[in-house]
Amino acid sequence: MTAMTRMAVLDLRTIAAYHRQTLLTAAVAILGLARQPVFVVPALAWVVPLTVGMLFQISDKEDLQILYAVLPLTRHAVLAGHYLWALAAFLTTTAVGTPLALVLARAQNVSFPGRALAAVLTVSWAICAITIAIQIPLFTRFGYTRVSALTTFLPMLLIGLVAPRLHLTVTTPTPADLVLLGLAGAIALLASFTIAVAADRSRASRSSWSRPAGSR
Amino acid sequence: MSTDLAFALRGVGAAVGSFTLRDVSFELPMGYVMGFIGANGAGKTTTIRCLLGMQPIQTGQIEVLGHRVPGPAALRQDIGMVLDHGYLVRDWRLSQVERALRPFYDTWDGTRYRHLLDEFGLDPRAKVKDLSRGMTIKLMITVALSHHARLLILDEPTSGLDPAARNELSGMIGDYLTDEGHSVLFSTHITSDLERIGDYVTLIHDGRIVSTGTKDEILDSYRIARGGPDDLRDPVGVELIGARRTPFGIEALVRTDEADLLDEAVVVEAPTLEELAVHIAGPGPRHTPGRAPESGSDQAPDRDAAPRQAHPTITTRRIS
Repeated sequence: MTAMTRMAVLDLRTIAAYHRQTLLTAAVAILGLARQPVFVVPALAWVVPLTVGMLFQISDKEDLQILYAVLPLTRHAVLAGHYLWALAAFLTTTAVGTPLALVLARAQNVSFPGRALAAVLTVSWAICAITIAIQIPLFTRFGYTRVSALTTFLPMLLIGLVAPRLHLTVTTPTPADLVLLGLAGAIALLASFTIAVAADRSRASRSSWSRPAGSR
Repeated sequence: MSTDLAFALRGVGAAVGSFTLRDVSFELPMGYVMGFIGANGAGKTTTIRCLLGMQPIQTGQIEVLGHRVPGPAALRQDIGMVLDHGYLVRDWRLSQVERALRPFYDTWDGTRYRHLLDEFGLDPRAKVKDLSRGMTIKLMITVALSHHARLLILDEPTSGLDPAARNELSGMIGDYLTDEGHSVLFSTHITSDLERIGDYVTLIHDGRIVSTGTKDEILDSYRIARGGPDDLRDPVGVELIGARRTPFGIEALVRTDEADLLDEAVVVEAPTLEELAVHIAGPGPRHTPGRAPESGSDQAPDRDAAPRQAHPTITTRRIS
């Protein structure tokens, strides 16, 4: 296992300790959109940025920066692990959400052709990737508390802006649109990682671990 | 780079906000315990952060276990960190702690982890958040010992612990030191913790090293002088270090070789570590920074030495 993979697994174990909250959020998303199966996958994809926020919230609250500094890991591997974990979470939610959406569609006699599914998956990927790409550098640089409101509402805003458009165009996406959206997500993540590394370097030079008042 | 040293800081300078570490230099040979003493805010934690490569330094250099810091991440395979507060996910059970950390360490010993949990009376099903402070420290020591750390860094581990728990911690460190290759840096402002287990002592005040050397040579180098209100007024040839005057008398630290110059009315006694810390690294007039006056300073402490009469609390430190 590479250091990045080990870190991703550590993130998974960190979030797993709070699995009830994550599962509850996912369940609410599914129940809320059960009558509109086309939105199930994007809604589950939206849970991923929420859990990314949760990961950083736990990290801030429980001094996990110290744990990361004590473990035999480079800071680079820590960051890369966060991204890898987020990608794995997206793949998992998609793997769960896609068959679920298809079953719900069939149960309600809603048409959900392959072309629409491709559009849903691509848009979900783009929403998830772009949101994470914005979140991680911000959390890395400023910590969860200072930017939590922004990064909590950002996914909702994106969903709000994109979802209606999705509903109008799921039956008529062009392959070029899908490729562009897919690439946009991937490029956003790559750029985000570069920015996050710089943000982490900046934070490292001024961060300190929590300690009793007065101690240095 | 020396492989005989657990760590060495040479001329280290670092700035954290308005606080600055200045020209910090001290070292610990492999196989010993160093007490790192200073008041709250003196710079102990910042120095440890520098040692771990968590805090960038502006000047000087740091070596840890034969590697220049910042060294390879693998260097931290050999370092165990114990803080006065936990840094693990509070909702993890102790069995989950092992599963989470094991993949990071090449030499993780799961049997030892479980054995130590049992020995320390820690329930593997308990959650980190349900542990008391003393138990949390035991858990961190368990983690450090389970990956066979060669250097254990303890940052204020005893603050807030009751005397029994502090005594137990001293015993654990003693056990840890039964392996010759193990070293400990023990940062504290509770000097009594070090009377029993400290081989070396470094005093820090306001970001500067005030004194560093073996505990015995530092204790031997000073005497505590006590007199009435009119005593110790400008004694010739004697520097009063950290003098504290009250309406009832005066107390100051003096160098041992200058103590004979004091008036016979002045009571001169061997100091305790606490008195040294109060007068050298406490608030008030400051002793000139530097190493302790020479008294065989190149000699590592004799672990099998008999307890000093003047300090019956200082015993042979190895607990096998």
